[in-house]
Amino acid sequence: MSSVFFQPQNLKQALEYKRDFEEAALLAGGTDLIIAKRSGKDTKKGDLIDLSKINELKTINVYEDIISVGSMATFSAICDSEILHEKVAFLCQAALSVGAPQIRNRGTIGGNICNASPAADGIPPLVCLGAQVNLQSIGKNGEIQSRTLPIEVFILNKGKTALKNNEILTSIVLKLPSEKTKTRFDKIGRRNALAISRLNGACLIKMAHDRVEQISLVIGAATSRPERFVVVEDYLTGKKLSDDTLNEAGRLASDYVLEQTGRRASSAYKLPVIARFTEALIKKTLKEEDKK
Amino acid sequence: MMAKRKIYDRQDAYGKITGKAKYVNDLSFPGMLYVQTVRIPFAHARIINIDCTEALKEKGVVGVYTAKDVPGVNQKPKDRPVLADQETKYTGDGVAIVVADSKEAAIKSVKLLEIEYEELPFVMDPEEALKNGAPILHGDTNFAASHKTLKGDVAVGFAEAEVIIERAYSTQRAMHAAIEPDGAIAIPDKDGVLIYCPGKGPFNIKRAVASYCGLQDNQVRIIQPTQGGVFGGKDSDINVMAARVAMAAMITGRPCKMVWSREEVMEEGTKRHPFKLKYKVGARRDGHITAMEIRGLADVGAYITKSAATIWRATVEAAGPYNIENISTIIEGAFTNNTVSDAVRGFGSPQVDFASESLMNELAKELGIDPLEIRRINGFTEGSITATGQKLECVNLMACLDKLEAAFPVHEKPAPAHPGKVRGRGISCIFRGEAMGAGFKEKDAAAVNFNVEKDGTITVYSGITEQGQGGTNVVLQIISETLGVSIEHLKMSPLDTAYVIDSGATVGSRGTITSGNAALVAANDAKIRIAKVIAEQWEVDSEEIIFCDNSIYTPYKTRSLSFRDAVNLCYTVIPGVYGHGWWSLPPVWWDFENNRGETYASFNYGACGAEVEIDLVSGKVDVINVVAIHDMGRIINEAEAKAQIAGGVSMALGLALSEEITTRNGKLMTTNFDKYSLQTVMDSPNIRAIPLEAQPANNPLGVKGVSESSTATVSPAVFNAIEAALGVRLRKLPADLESVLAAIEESERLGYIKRGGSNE
Repeated sequence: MSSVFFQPQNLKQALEYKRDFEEAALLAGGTDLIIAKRSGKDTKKGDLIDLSKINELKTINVYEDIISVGSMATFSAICDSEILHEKVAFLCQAALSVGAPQIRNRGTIGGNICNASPAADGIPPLVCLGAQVNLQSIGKNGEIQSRTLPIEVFILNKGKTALKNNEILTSIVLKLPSEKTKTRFDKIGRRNALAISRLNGACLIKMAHDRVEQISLVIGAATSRPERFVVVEDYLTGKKLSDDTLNEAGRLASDYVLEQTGRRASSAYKLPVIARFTEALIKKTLKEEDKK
Repeated sequence: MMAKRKIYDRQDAYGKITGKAKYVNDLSFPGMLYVQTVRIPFAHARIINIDCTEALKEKGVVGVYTAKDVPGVNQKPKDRPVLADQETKYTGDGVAIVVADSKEAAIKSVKLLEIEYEELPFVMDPEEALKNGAPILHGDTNFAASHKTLKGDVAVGFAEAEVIIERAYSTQRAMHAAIEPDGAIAIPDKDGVLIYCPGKGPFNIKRAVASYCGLQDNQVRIIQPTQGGVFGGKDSDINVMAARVAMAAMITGRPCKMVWSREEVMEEGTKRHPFKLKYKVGARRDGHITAMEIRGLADVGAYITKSAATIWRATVEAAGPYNIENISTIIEGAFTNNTVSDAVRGFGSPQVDFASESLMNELAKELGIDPLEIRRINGFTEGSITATGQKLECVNLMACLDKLEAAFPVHEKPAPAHPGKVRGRGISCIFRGEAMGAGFKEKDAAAVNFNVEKDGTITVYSGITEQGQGGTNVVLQIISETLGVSIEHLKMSPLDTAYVIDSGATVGSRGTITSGNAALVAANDAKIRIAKVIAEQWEVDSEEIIFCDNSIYTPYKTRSLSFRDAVNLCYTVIPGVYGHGWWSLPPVWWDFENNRGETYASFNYGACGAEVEIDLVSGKVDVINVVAIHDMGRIINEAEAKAQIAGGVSMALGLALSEEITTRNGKLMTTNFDKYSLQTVMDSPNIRAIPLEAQPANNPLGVKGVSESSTATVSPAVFNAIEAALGVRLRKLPADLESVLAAIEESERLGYIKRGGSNE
């Protein structure tokens, strides 16, 4: 059993390799893939396509009110991006909460999305923002095909995505949140670095006249994939955020998770903490500065 | 008196910082083979057959060997075998080794081995293990060891008590987690074997390999490369590993290497004993303790190793540093199908200190007495009598507590917490026996030798290992200061059992006490030798001669010579210029029949203050400040002492908050550092390490060991701080998210803290 290792220098080359070696795994930093291989959990044939040399996949660009983040942008690059700090600070907060500097230097946002861990730190802010992922492939005739899916649709379940065997996730596209929007990401880990999220969450709120005009809330590591907690959003929209209201929002979040997952060994901890965490996350979001 | 405030650079630091230091995994020899251990993924199994036909067909595979191929005594009763013979007793047990010309080939061919085995019932809980009908690991019972102390009459003591409380505590299985995994290389010799391996006791490794491999002790030579962390480990694991590579080298006639992966360290490597402890304490309303009864059970794991000695130390220290007329302690150990419990920095002390120091706060609360005050009321003072009937000297407990009160705001309210968090402060104090103690039979001694070279430089030989603690520098510093020779002119030789005198293992915080005092004896030996020659030349009294600043001179410098010239002169008169020194600790004894004795030559004392901030959303505990005060008798090197205390605190914080080896259905769940949560620098509190000089100890340097004590005070101080913040007591290590959240919920129910609010 021999395996091949490709290191394409541009996207076209990468897409061609993926077309011709559909079973090959995409190496997008390797902070999950290499660990899975070492532990024997990834039992597939060892073909690899390393995307690390493709500079066109690493760019972070703004076109009017649209931001495009290349799938091979590292967490460090996201942390360091001034435009992301200014416009979608909670994405930078999420990126900064990943692992430790070495992992942030290697790990990429595209890898984080395609690994589809329920506890991924990079995904909740993107789901909150209604981000879209660009998926590309190349035909036998050399014609590049693209399709776009909302990230919430792209991630099917724990470890499962809608990525086809001949496709590469090339970029993530976000619409900038409107002015006076506040965002926040938070996580609970067993230590202050190098911790897999026990829970994480992203929240985006726009208030008008002391009432919630718009809210987007994602609690991660709670259900099988990061998703918007619509039941909480609906409850809060149009309301003033009193302590009792927030308390109820937390309870709704917790009830929703129980409904989705059923009672598990971790429920004794997670269910009450989801309620507390949701409440605290919304409160902390309100204390963040308005986006310009 | 030593000029202790001078800063000395660590001689081993440059190699480590520049990457030039060679660790075992950096070493390679021509024709070297690689050895991989084969295991059965089941907690308890009977080996039926091992078929290596397919494995032997694999390219690069040189041989597959099992227990039958072990050249000497594969297993002493109840102890670890080189390779399991009839049955495996935990998932880490090796059943065979594959020897191949590359690591890759060795790892690959492990999977080709066909092992037929029968799964046997297993037991992972020590209480279950002692019940009738439990699966038995050795002989006809899982009972492994037991020690007792008995002082006074607890029935009388409890009758005198006005308040009696009973509490149960438990501690987790934890590990050393040295960054360098265990490894060894064996090179066959015409009449024996040379082994390169790290380890805290090279002479113990030598004897173990000789026994396992059917060699004489002098046919095994150990050379120690630079060590990448020990923390009480690299002990019985290295014994077994060195024997595996040694047998492979003896059979194949080629150098053989084995370095464990992190997963193998987790799976096979030894761990800290988990303890379950039940305390009953009686006191008068004025705070005086009248009686204490302690019953404990330690999880020994699959094999005995040094569990009896660990349990002995725990038993001796279990009642804490307190004057109590009536004490009864019994601590037992039971075999289970868990990983082997063996020495880890602290050796039984952190477990009992966690329990007894939590108990003191619980008693203080019950009595309405300040936690510091109850310790002062009952704490050891000069001449106090321990649980074993030993009269104490050089007792510095009160000095530690006074310093704690001065350095840590024990009586002040904590600083305001961040929103949604609460803060609390807690304290603890301990006593801890120095060095090996009477639990071991051998005389506790060390030797230091050195040659004074003709250019005036000095080559030093010491049997105490450098494991990062700075132990070699202490030896060099004492010789340097005694002979007035700059430390830059001294060099520590590599530890090679062919040339260095057996000074025991570098364990029990005994390094400085034994080798430091031996270095002093050796330095004075050389000094007398040199002074005698020079005094005759100068026709002065040899005792008048002064050794200082790389020179030798008479008072008022009427006559003087450089140290180098003086040495050269000596070489023309006497056969050699050298220093030789042995030093041993004062005698100790233990009466195993009557459970009494002079357990340790001396004790050190410590006190700790911790301030925590608890997140009421998640239950996450952040330790904000730690003040760790340790009685060192006399300080040799203040910077090293502080670093060692801070390191101990850091290790202990993992024990307090996040580290735990877990299993499910007999399988290890914490297979790597992603699941086994060490504390990182991002979790580190402000640590104020205070080495304390009160009364000196009863040895020439007046020193006491500090390594292990600094791991023992932290977890109770942290748990006492959590209790202060929440009003709810946790009694099980570690204070993980789940248990702290449960305490927060309880605290809210009791109305001690407001939901999402504070405890003010």
